This record gives sequence, C-alpha cells and structure tokens, in this order.
Amino acid sequence: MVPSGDMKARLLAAVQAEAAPTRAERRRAAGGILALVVGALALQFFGVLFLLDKKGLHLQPQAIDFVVSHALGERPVAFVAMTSLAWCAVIAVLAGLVRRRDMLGPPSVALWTAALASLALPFAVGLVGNGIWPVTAVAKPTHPGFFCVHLSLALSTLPLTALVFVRRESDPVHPLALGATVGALAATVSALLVNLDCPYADPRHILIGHIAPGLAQIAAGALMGGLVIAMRRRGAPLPIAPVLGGALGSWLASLYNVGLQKSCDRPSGFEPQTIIWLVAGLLLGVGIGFAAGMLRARPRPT
Amino acid sequence: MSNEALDQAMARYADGDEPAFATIYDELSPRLYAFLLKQTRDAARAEDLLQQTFLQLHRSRGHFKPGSPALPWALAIARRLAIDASRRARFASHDGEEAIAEAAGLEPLPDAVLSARQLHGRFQEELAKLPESQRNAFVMIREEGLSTAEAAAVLGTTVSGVKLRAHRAYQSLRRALGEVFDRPEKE
Repeated sequence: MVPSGDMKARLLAAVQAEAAPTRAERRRAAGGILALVVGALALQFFGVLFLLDKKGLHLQPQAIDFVVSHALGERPVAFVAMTSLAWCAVIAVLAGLVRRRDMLGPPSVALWTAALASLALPFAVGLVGNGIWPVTAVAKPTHPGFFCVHLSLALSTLPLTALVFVRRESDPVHPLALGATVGALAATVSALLVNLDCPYADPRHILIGHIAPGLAQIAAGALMGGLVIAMRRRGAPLPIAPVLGGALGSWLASLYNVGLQKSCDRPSGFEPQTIIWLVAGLLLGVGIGFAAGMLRARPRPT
Repeated sequence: MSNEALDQAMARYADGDEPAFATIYDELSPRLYAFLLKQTRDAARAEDLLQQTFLQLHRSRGHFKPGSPALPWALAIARRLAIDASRRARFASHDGEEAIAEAAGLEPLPDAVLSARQLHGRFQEELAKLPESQRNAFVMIREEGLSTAEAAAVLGTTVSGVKLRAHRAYQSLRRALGEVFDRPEKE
C-alpha cells in the first residue's frame, strides 16, 4: 500500500514553501522567552517585597533587614528552608516531565498524578513543619490568605503562558495532561516565591492562599493545553491571540489586586472588587486577543 | 532502511538538513499510509491525512529530540489527526476492502488468492468493529511492530494498559474469526 506517486513531489514543494524552525532556532527562541519571564518574575517579586507596603507603592525601597524580618514573621528559618526545599524538589520533577526525555513522554495518568501531587507533597511537608514548630500552626484570622491568592496568580500567570507558548502544537498524545503539568510547574514556582515572602504558615492559610491558586493554574494549564499545546489539522486556527490576551489581562488584574490589597486598610481581607477586577481583566484580554486574531486573519483586499 | 536510520534522518532534518525529508518520506509513507487507511477505510482521506501528518512533522521538527524513535512520534501525530478529522467530518465508513484493494492496485486474482483476500477483508471488517483503543493497540503492536512501551507512549497510556487492550482485541478477533478457521475443509 503506497500513496499516489505525485504526493512526494507535492510535499517536498510544500515543506520548502513553509519555513519551520530547526531545533537550534526553536531552542534559542524558547531560551529567550524563558529568560524574559525569569527577569519579569524577579522584578515582580522584588517589587512586591521592596516597593509595596500598606501605604501603596514606595519610591524609596525598604531596608533589607525589615523586608526579611517581615517575610519570616514567626517562622523559624529552618521551617522556611524545609518547605522551600520541598517546593524546589517538586519544581525539579515537574520541569523534567515538561522537558521530556523522548518525544511522547510518560502516560497521561503519570502527568495528572504528578500535577496534583505537586501541590499535596509540599503541603504535607508544611504540616510536618507545623508539628515540629507549633508556633507556625497558629491561625491568624485577620490573614486568611486572599493577598497570597492574588500574589500567586500574579506570579504564576507569566510562566504558565510562556511555557504553554513554548510548547505550542507539540503534543499529539495528551495535551491536556501536559498542560496541567505545565500549570502545576508555574504554580509551584510561584508557590516557592510566595512561601519566601509570606509570614503565615497555618494550614488554613496555606490551603486558601498557596494551594487553591495552584489548583486554578492546573485547570487553566489543562485548558490552555487543549487549545494551544495540542497538535491540530493544518489550517485550523491556533487560538493563540485570545489565550495570550486572557493571560495578559488576568496578569495585569492580579498585579493591580496585589497593590490594592496591600495598600488598603484590610490587607488580607476578602475584597469582592478584586474578583471583579480579575474576571474583567480575563474577559477583556480574551476579547481584545480574539478581535486582534480576527483582524489578522481577515483577508486583505488586493 | 532500519528504524535507526530513520531516527538519524529525522534528527538531521530537525537540525536543518533539508534533503533528509525525502529519506524520511520514503521510509515513513507506506507505514503511515497503511495505518491511516485502517483508521479511515478511505484511500482519499488517508492520503489527505498522510499529507497533513508530514506537514505537521515538518512544522514540529524543532521539537524533535535526537535519539528518540521517530516512528512512534509520527504514528501518534497521524492518529491525532485522524481522530480530529473523524470528529469533524463524522464520515461514514466506506467499504474498506475496496479501498485497500484500490490502493494496492491489485488485478483480478485466482481462487486461492481471492479466498485469502476475502479472509483479509473479513479480518479488516472485524478489526474495524473493535473499539478504537483496542484496534489501535492491536495495529501498533501486531502490524506496525512497535514495542508495547512505544505503543503505550503513542496511545498515552501505560504498558500494562496497552497489553490489556491488545489482548482484548486479540480475543475479540479470535472469537469473531474462529468460525472461519474452525470450519471443516471441503472433501
């Protein structure tokens, strides 16, 4: 059984007409994007640490010893080191799964298990730490964790979007599971940074402020995986503009919420307007991205 | 050409060696076409999907990791495109035997060969009746010669999962075709 004779000639002409990046070109592009994201994350993180306080944005950076003592709170350094190491270990495992050793990767069930366990394991390590240092387990009713929700979302949206973009149209087998793993990787990176910044470590705060946004990022990753990481029929439109627009909109809204929460009188209380900002940012971004995609796809008059 | 040589050609192509595409086409096209023909049971659709599979291989060459087997990756892409196409079109199943014979370009045959062709046709009919997951596992292991680990990777499941699917497919086929083999020969 062989295909028709002229197919080879047609295909050779088609691939010559359509430029496709080589491995070296793709690696350079991916490296550049990821370097930009790491830089943006560092700016965001240190900006929140040094430039934001209850009075809003400060042009005078706060002193390092003040920032460190505020970030540690009542947590012993050993507790912070133990929980941070747990997050680092999970990040390493997830990065290996996303990078892959071969073309098809592990089965879906392994990817989903890794994505969900990535949040459960550091939480369990935190519980062990609560048992060793009981002062860390004391709940602070004034700080249920909403500030950390916004900080987690603000810190994880850029890496999630960048990783999904880098892996676009690359998975023919399980794009949803790979997207969920990418979401978990972005969530754990942000959870590590939030863990360094957040002085509260009681289980309820961790669940609301550090784990729940991770679950949201896993779900968002799976959705973006199905839309962007999946291989699709040639000619089928890749909804990259709405996805990028939505990610950018929700990222800006999260950043605004971080500032809003930190500068208002009740720094960690539930503020309904922050949810409205988040949803509005997401929808506005998706809408602008969709419109931009439509305009770009519209045939131009000759 | 061996699979190893195919893998090396794919690695060269991923690094920008354009003439390697012809080598990849020569090695992969008959196997992918046979696989797609079993999926679609329509020669024209199989050709269309084959073309799309090669274009997707071209577009994704930057993702290829040297040292990885190229055949399971190509089969996975072909399978994904076939699933997408069937979801879109919901095309009715055509007569697969006709499509296969047409693609093979066979002439009218003597009785013994005709009987073998009828048996082959019956086998294809029964294969098409299997659930997609079982059919794919069976085709990849028995007909494409993939290892269970490679077939599991293509299908996105575990090795034990793919073994179970292939075993169930084998049992179903044996049940369905058993009467043909058990039929007493004419005196």
